[in-house]
Amino acid sequence: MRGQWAKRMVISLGILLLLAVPAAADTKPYRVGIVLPGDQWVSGIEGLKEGMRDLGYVEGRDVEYVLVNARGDKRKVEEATRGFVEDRVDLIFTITNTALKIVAGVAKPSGTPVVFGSASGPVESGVVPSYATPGTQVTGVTSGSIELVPKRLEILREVLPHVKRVALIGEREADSSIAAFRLAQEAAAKLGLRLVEFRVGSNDEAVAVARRLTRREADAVFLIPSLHTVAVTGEIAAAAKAARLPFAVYQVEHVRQHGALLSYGSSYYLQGKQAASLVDKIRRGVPPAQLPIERPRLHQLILNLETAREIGVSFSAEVLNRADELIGSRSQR
Amino acid sequence: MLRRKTLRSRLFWALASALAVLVVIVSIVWRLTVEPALRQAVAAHHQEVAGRAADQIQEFMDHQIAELTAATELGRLWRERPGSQKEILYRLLKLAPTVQEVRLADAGGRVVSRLARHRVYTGADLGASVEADPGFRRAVAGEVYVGDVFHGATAEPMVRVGVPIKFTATDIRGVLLAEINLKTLWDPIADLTVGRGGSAFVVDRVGRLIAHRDYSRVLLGVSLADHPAFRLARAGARDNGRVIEGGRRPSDGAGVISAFAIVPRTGWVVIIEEPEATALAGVSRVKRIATALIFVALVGSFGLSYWFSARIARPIRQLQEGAARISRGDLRHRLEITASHEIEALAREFNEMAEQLRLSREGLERKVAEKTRDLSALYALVTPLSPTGHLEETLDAALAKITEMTGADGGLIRISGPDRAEVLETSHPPSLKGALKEAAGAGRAPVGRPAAPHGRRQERRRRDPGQPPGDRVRAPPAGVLRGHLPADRDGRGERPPVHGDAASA
Repeated sequence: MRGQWAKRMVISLGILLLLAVPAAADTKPYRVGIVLPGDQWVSGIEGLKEGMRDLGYVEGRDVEYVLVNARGDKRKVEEATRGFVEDRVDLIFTITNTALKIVAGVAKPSGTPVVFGSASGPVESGVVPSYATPGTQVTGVTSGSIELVPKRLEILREVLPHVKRVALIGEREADSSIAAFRLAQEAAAKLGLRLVEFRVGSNDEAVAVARRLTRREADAVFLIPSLHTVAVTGEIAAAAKAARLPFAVYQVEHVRQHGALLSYGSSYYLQGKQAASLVDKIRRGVPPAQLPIERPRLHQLILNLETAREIGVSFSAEVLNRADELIGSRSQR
Repeated sequence: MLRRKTLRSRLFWALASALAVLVVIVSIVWRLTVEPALRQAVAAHHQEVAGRAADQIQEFMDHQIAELTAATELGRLWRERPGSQKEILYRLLKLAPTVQEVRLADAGGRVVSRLARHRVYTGADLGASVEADPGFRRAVAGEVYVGDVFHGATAEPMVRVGVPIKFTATDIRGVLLAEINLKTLWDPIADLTVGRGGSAFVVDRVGRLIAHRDYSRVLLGVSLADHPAFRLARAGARDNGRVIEGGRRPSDGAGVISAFAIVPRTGWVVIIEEPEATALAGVSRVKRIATALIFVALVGSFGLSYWFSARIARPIRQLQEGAARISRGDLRHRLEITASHEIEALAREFNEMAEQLRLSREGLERKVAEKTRDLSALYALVTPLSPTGHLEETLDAALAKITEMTGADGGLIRISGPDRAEVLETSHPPSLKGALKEAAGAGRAPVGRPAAPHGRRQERRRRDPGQPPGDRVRAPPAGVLRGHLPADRDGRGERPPVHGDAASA
């Protein structure tokens, strides 16, 4: 009898252990490898973390972030992605279309899900086949920056009617930049603008181009979304300001942080926050291929009145009324 | 275990069956009345939520239409110069974030102004005709038009709305056509609380999702045209707010309770759906408690039946056992039954009967014992006492027994012939032969031992039957003993009768 009792106890303990093992596995934090292209996109990571917190994730307990900052270096983006794949992270998060294309290519054989917090044109650049049905391991939130290039040019012209020549600074080889240049050309023809294109291959080249620009070559500078241009937005803004050239960008942060004149679009922060829900769904088992790519909930027109004053431009009352946010409005008004 | 066909088993099964039937009836009543009522209450709550959501969507659309109408009235768009028209449209886009694109058409259907949030329209895009557009046709007739939901390149649901530009009630100078992004509906629909595991969603007139907590499904263009709630909504036309019970979710076949409400202006259907598992969690809890109670009631009814049948059958069984013991001769057995009903009275009667039987039997036994003793004495007297069969030895032995039985000191038997000549004479003990003869001749008792009357001696013997021989008793008076000698050992033949006197002292 005693032997039987002991046997039953051992079997019961075994069952309890078997039950406890999956429970323990479930409590392991979800590991998210973050490939940060550069310091310019840090607010996107903050948005992601905030979104995850809103969804009830506690960092360290439920989710673990492993971040690698490539600082604008595409090779580092690739190395970081490879490291995450070898390290078997549960998901890779990245920002920008250029980084996304690298990350998606490296991670594809492993099947590791990839979520992007902001990519200018994942469909236009061919990373995913369509917005509604991505059909791959990649999903995320698009900034729509490529699609919005014509609209931004239109707004630039409407906000600054004197602008006729626009200097475009974009990347030479990035698919997103190439698509954006093409759309800009089409829009310029409709809008009666003349484009001065600068296709660069590095950050330094982008800064050098910006520093050479004067009002003789262009009436305004327009940033084409790409890794090398966004990474040096601050330097380009400073150069444009020095040349008293209006500088139009496409993300809220570029106006707030770097002193660009205007932007029309969303913010990395909000897009990162929006992407958190996609990370959450993948964490709960939904295949990324079934998660349509989302667009930002909000696009805003932001005008920097301080920069306007510095470079000697002014906005009409109608334009000021149209703006969703005016930076430095108190001093202007 | 209860043996079949005993009184107790019959009682038990009768009672248990009656109680079980009662429990079953209660269960059926619960199943047919209480549970449906609880389900209906849950469904009614869902219906209320669906109705509120439909009201919200109606308000949303009314607000959009009011914004567009207000824009048409701001400066009377048609009269303004094109630049001002555009500024008013910009203002409209700013004030109504859901409006993605607006077109201004004159009464002839020619587009005179166009503005979008994402697309660029220039003068080259103007002048196109929208005369064939159903929105234009309805609006130019003075009605507000709400078109079918469509999905743009980014798969977000949109709806086209047309409002007339009226100078007066009958003077319509143009139409404002707007594309409204319905993404705004996602959050309020997602925030709707439907029980613990339910969800709300909105489908358009053909069943395509417009809003859902999981908006990926909206972007994927999922159609719920086969959903039972949608089919019922379509079949019932404007019959708002029916509740569907026992439905199955098309996606996974799970049982759900659904309710729907139709948005009057658009014909869209708000569907509230909750899995039965969570919707009826409260009902299930009550059901579990009820089941447990029914089980307890069943067990209790069986226990009660067992106890009650035992209570009724036990005294009867005791009666049966008592009768059996009495039949086996145990007349001292009594029943201890305190049942406070007829069985107890029966037990008392039984005990009384047993007591009477016992007394009767004891009296009978006493009489039998007395008779037996007498017969035994007689038998002892007549039993052949001498194995040799000699008369003298037999008489000696008989005399010795008589002496012993009577407690006399001695006795004398004299047998005479027909001529009174003495044939045989014997005494016991032989030493007293002279004294006995003398006494027999004198007809008196021996000296020093006065004769006692026979009756007194009998009485004394009856009072003390165990008195040992040799006690001092008075000798009976000498008498004559007549009779037959007992049969010989093998029972055949009889000895010839003898005559004589027997004297004892």
